[in-house]
Amino acid sequence: MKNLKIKLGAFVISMALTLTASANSNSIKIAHSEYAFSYDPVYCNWSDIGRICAIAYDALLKFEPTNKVLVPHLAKSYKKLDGGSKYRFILNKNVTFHDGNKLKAQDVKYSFERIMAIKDGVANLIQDVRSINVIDDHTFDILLKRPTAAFLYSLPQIMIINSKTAKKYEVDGDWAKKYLDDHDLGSGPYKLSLHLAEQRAEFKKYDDYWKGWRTDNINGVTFLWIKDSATQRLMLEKGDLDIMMEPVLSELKDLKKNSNLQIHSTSSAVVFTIDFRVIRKPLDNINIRKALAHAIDYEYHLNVALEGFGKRAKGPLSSQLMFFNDNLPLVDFDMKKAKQYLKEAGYPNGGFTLKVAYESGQAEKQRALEMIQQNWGLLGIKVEPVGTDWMGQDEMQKNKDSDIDVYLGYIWPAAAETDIALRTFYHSDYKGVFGDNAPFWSSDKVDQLFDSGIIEQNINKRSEIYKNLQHEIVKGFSSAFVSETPFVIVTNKRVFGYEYNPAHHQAIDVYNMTLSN
Amino acid sequence: MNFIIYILKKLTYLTTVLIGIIILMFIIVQSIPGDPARSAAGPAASKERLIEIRENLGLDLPVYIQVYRYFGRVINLDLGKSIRTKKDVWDELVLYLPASIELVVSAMFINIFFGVLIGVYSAVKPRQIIDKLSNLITILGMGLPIFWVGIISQLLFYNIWDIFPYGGRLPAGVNPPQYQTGSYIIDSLLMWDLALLSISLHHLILPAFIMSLPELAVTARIMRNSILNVLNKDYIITAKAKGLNQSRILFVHAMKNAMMVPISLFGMQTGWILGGTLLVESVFSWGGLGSLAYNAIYKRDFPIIMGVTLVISLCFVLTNFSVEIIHKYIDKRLT
Repeated sequence: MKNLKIKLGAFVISMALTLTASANSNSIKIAHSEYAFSYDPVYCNWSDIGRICAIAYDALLKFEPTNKVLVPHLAKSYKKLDGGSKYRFILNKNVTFHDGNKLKAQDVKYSFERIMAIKDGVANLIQDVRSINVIDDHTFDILLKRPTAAFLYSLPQIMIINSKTAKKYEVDGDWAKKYLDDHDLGSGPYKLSLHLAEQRAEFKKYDDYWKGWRTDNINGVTFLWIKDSATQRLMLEKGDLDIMMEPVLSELKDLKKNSNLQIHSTSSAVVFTIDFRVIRKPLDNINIRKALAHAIDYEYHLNVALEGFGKRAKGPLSSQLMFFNDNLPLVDFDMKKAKQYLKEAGYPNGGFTLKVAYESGQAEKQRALEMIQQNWGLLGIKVEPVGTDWMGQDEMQKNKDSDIDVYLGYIWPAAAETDIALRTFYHSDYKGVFGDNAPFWSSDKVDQLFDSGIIEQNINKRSEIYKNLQHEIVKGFSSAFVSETPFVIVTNKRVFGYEYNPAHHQAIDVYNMTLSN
Repeated sequence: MNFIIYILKKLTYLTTVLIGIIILMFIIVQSIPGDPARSAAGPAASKERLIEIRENLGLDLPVYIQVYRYFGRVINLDLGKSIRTKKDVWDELVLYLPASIELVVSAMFINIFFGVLIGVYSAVKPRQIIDKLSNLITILGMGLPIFWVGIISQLLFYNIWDIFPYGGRLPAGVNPPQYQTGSYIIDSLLMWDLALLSISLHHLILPAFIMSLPELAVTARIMRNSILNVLNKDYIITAKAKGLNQSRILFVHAMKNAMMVPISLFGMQTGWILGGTLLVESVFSWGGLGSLAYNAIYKRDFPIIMGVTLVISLCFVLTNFSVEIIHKYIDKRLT
């Protein structure tokens, strides 16, 4: 009876505690909508798992966002050999994984071979790797199938896992994939302490982290998977959340008024484009495309659709990425020019209809659609909207025979490297394979520039090649480059040190952040 | 013997329904635009890889062959692997189903308990305050979109009054009970951990109530009308004339017949509530089948969509089958 009373007492107390629960003082809570279905770094290119990779794993090199350069990380140094078809790396000696095993070159070999065998996720980024040769415990060579200049820039996405423990948990040659569904095998600053599918993941600081700890480091990270942005907002305003990853842009004005919150906005590596299917009439005429591009109110898009948070795009590449060409001719909003080009194309009064595909769930695209409907309408061009979601649109873009004339799309780089960012969108090899090349546009010159840029080892020459490449793409008027899509997160006032990293789009580098009391 | 034939007839009928649902769903899912191979391959995959994935998944085959193959696999209890996560669909369903069942059973409990209670009270005391309130709840419950009610309830009960949590099955920092059934309520009871039970219940009440709201309104109205209808029957008038007391007339004589209609309704309501988990689980971050389906639809993860559909259809069919049996048991005249 006494025991029952104690239990009932605990019941009442816990109810009270639940009602008054508040945020843990030195642990950060981050909400986002997509659930990380695994802790396997093979999937680091998925934004949901990329967030986990950024705190639980380490890569050989890191992308430093301020100067847009690669810096050594697990590898303390590296050098290029054999004209770029081989790289020799030397590892830091003081690195340990979360179970205490020391990092060795064999772990790197295992991690690469594992990704190549699984053929999924980030495997596409290292498809040029031929083999890994271990020289000693801390030295190894990566041999490439061809000298590939972009290779090093894929490395920040390739996380190194604990091979000893992974081998212990392999089942039927699965490379420990099942084990990694709810465990981590990294050496990063935080280690997984609790995984609840579709609910949350909790990480605690790894005391023996090889880079050491400052006194003001954050002790723990909780990822909460909350689909509804309204719920995220309520939690943030109430102080139960530190970071809201996907705020609705139209709500930012309201959130700005809240003195307990701060909005971090930066232009991202993603470029918003209005793509003209150049193989369809009358869009096969460049003057029509020029007319349409000049009839886009770019300022309106930045100020209204993006609520003042965006940045005008100059070309297909974001200014966040290296080799960005700042000298590209900017297409201005000029209805007179638009009318002139239409006249030159033989359509002085428009008189045709364009089917425009857009993602109806994307506020930016919906607003852009309304704007072009209005402006192109003034030219006598009727816009027929076709709402879909991203996969539906991708399917249409891939289909050469699709009857859609214009697509509102994004150039979404798979890695913070120019070639990787643009190749699937503009190299003729990829036309119709993915939906990336929505305009179905290509040029021999652009193909040649891609082919020479990927093997060029001299960074200045590469820069020149890719700047020319951007110029050629812009000249083709296959797309109107509207904005560098802003990446916005909202945090409460106690969060300091957040920095956007285009190599890990949507990830948070918690290790370099602090929380005030 | 008649009873067995009745069961066999119903089982055949329900199996046909299930097969029909699977074929229909397969065709609908296949016709949604989008390339699941693209979702599986991820960004920057090579052409060859994309083709390989399509072949592996059988996406290059005609739909009728895909349906045929799917049935072959379902008979062998193999629902395939998720295109996105590469995990076994069964494993995924087993992981998420208990959370949804916990929510649905709680919502049904609230629906039946309060629905019947309000319905009976409204019938006994018509046009009084409870009856009028129940009328209002019916209109609101049926007319307002459930996700909107969910968001408003979060605003009121979480943000303003601080009575219930925002959602989730447990607060951050609290570990779930040791896995036995997957239901936190049952597992914490099995562990006799009352503190955890209280926290789990605290998180369950609001989503379960919101989920039950549209059905509760219907139950209350149907129950009210059903009771009023029975109360006007001759045998009740006779019972009254014999001088039996009001409670006995109501609960012993009237309820048995009045419950026939609501019982049929409960079977269908279970299916509707289970189908509604998609919205409620999204609003309340409840990691169940609804959340799984939400992600799967967005990513064109066809095996998961089919798996979730199969489970929901199966639950719907089985619940209705159970209701038919109960009906037959109550009223032997049914054929």
